Amino acid sequence: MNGLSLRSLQIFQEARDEISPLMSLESARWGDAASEPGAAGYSYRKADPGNTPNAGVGGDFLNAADFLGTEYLPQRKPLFRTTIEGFLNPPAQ
Amino acid sequence: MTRSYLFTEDLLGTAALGIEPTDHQVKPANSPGLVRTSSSGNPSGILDYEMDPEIIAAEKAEMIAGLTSAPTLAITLPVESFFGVVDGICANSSLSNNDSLDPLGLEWRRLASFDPTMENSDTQENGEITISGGVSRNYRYNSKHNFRLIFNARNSVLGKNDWLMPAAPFSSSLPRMFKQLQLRNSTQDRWTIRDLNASPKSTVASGYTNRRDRAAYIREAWARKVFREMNPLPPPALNGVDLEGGAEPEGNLIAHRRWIHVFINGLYWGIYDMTERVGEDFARTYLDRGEDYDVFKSDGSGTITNVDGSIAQWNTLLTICSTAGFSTSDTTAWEEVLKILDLDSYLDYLIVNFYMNNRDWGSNGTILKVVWPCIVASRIIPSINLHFSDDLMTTMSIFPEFSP
Repeated sequence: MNGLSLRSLQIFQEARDEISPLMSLESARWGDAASEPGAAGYSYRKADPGNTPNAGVGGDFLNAADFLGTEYLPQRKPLFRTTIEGFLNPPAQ
Repeated sequence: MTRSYLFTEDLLGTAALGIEPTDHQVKPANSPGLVRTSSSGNPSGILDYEMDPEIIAAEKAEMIAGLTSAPTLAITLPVESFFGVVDGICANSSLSNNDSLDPLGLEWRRLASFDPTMENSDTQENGEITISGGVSRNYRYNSKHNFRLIFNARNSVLGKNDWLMPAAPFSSSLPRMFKQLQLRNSTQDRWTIRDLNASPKSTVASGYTNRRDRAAYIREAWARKVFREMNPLPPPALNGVDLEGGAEPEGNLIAHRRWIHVFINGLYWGIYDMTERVGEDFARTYLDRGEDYDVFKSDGSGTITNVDGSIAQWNTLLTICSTAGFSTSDTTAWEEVLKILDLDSYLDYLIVNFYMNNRDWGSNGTILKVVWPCIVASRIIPSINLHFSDDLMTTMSIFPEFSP
């Protein structure tokens, strides 16, 4: 279990390092693509200095990636173990 | 045949990167160009092809570095074939013919020139391009569509052979042959998905909230690499003989991928996850090139469709799994399952899905959970491998209400 968790974090960092240099280009091309036509939509950025995310919500690439690397993956390990143990030891009927 | 030359220092601030697309790039004759659609389906204005000048001004140096940190693929085709109201694949992207392998239909493949710039590889190829995907093809949800590139098209007038990349486009040292490649914009983990029940930067509320706020473009890359590393496979072979002279094992069978920049008719179209398309040629590339393989996949409803070969072996597996499931004390029944199913690979598949807390996944009523995988089965030595094809994106709390 420790092996999966530690290596999974390394792989996450590798994936983050691969995409990170490209996100400024993506934000300029597609950052506002989901806004409604004519509406004052939000344009997603790699790092948005004006971003004031709601609790637990990212809002730009760096915040979203930080959430995965520092919150999701570290928290997921014990929850995953509980899930698997529940399958292996189902409650008595 | 076309050749494209990209000069990174000159790209930003010019029409080449789409700040002011020229009419010949985006407007077929007598057409206004692609019409933008609201989430309610109402047409409103013209699609935005521009690069945001404010972001360019603020991050120009990083953009130039980013252009050279990943390969490029320049795609050239008649503007009518892409943007045309009558014949264009973009303008007609949401059409459906109920063919899970070619959702837009064979008649919506368009001839194109593909001009890659990769490590030691700049071989231009002709082929066909179409739009792939499910709900992502609808402009109400998403305007950055997935593409599929076809080099051995079933209805090609070119009679092309497979595309042989002279250098390794992914990770292996051997040149690879591709009949098809996918340019993926995995819909959920992206800024381009439109949430019909949420406004941008929405607060966490009941129902689906804004998944764009948690888009990191990382989920699929992470899952594919974790899965590959969990269970080393032997290196590619030909009739049992190692082709790579003792190269490191590839790992669990799964499509390779990498980020590339895509230009369409000189217009910057963004970053795409270039991914192998799984079929018999894929299985031969990474397993044994002298062997025949059945490849099948499930669609959104859980129906299994054959990509290559037949699904007979899959149906056999389901039958014996059902038998084994109803007789848990009968080890003979389970031994029959293990004669067909690659159990290690299957358990890895389950582990990664549970670890990611995949929300776009479920049970089809058997003891095998198979909603989205592709399955590769050897015809000679029965061995069914489940691996991920698409849709590892509704994971890792992409919706804020789905906690870890």
